[in-house]
Amino acid sequence: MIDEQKHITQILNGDTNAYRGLVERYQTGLIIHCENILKNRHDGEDVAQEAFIKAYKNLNNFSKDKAQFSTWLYRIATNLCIDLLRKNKRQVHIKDIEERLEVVQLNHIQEEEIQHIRKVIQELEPPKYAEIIKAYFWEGKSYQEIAKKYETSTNTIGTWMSRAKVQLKGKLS
Amino acid sequence: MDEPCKGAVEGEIIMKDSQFEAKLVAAKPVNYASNAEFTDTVMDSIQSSEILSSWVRKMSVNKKETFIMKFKHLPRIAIIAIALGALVVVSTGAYAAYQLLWQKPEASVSKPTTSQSGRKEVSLLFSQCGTQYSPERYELKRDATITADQIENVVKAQCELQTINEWAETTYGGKLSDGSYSLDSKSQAMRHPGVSLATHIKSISESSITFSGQSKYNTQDTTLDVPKNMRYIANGTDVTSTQFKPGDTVVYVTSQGTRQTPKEDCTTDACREFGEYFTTHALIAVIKLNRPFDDYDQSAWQSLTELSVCQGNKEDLCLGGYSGSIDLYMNTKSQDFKEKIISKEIQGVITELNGKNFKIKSSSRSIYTVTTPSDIVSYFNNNKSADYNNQKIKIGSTLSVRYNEKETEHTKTIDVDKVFWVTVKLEIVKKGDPVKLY
Repeated sequence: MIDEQKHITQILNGDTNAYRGLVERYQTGLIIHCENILKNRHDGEDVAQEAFIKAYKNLNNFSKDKAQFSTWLYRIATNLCIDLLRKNKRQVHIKDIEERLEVVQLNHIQEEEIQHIRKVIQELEPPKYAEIIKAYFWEGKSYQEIAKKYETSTNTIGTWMSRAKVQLKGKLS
Repeated sequence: MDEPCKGAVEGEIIMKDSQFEAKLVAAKPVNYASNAEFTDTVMDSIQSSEILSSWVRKMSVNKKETFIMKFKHLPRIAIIAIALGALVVVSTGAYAAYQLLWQKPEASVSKPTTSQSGRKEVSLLFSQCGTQYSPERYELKRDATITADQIENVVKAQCELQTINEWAETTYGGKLSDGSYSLDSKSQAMRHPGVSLATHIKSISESSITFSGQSKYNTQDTTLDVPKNMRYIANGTDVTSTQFKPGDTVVYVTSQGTRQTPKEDCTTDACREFGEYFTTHALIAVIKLNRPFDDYDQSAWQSLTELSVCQGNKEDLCLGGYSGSIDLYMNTKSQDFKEKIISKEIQGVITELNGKNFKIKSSSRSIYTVTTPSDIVSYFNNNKSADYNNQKIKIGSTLSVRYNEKETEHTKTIDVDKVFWVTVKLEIVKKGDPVKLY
């Protein structure tokens, strides 16, 4: 884990570049969270970017005693997602979105469990399942980018991803 | 292009899936490379001028913005080139399918009345615009280019355009995007449908059609070849070319393609310098519009503000659509999920200003009393106003307040711990207008 507060202190002391560490740490999860709400990768990336920018601009109000940066960041992004859904005249299921926000913020996942998940990912068969899981959930690649690498369609990647997740859930349960 | 649904369904399964995915993300090793391009984009943005804050980005026509973001891996000059050459692209959001060719869209609006902000407004009584959700009301902006009597026509015209956009996306979106991305390891190509803004046919022949640039965003004539299988559509049905003539108001659907090939010495995926770039437009369909051209004009549409039900406050309406805002305050306090608190929004005109406290009157005429940790209005007026065309927040200005509250609770007093985000609303008719508060 990165030292979140250390980064924030550095930023508030004028080291803008220190924000890069926070962006790198949280971008993948935040993009996926927004993508899941908006059902669109490009919009998800746009909103995640907007959330990082808004968080940065309001960082001087941030107090480590009151909040965890990621919790605050996810709240900003979720509100922006709702705004975009409304702007695009899409239905907004507030309750679902709020519940989703609650479950995606894993503040207390144990190191032991993390190690186990990594091990199980490595064991996926065929090995390309492990590669696409890592590309999507760790490297922040979109289905489109993964499809390009494998010279196949995004639908195929979707199928592989579903199968990989079923396998993972089976091994993790 | 929408990516395939990842198998999510409503309810508990979504939640379990989200939690499972969050665990996968959390398991990312610290030293694993993240998306450098995304990081760079964020860092570039925060290092730019503060004046380029959210409201400026929101000023861009949303659909153009979406289009640009698809190509954000391109060098900036290429993005600008695409943006200049682009038509208004069909939104990437996939809505309810619009059946067959044409069902005549319908929108019934009330006679204009005066809203509490002193603007002319109409209520949308019924609409069939092909979407799942429609605004409740439209308000005429103060600098509108249309009169109150024209609102109904403009709303109906927009309803028709929206229907056509959704039809184009539904009919051609999947077909064009499927498998059209990667060509080889170096060059890449994309293809997607786009719908033009309303325009006129200047000349028409069996081999080509010239469209005259009649709108703000499309000022030059455009001549496109007519492919064999191109569709002519009028009143929601396929017709022959004989029904089209110079002077007709139309929109046209094209398949838009781009291809980029990196420089020869570029060996990694992350290469940003492209040696070759081009874009093409191929006609798919020309669609005759039923109303006068002026009804479809973008500035007419942008003269209206959409109002729809506020999040968490069903009795009130909040500004949406083509509007912007300036952030005044954001709380960083963590949310306590155990109490089932949700995010709500209320908007209203300021009726009272008193340091850290202010009162706003919502659309339902309810008075909300809001408390912030500091006098955010004075701070803006004294320190930020110069950056925003010397606009001053005062009684009568419109504020938006997002706050956290239990779902079942409905208080009109929003204390400092509940407030999450306060913005002042802007009135924008067209991009480039000086900043003006709503």
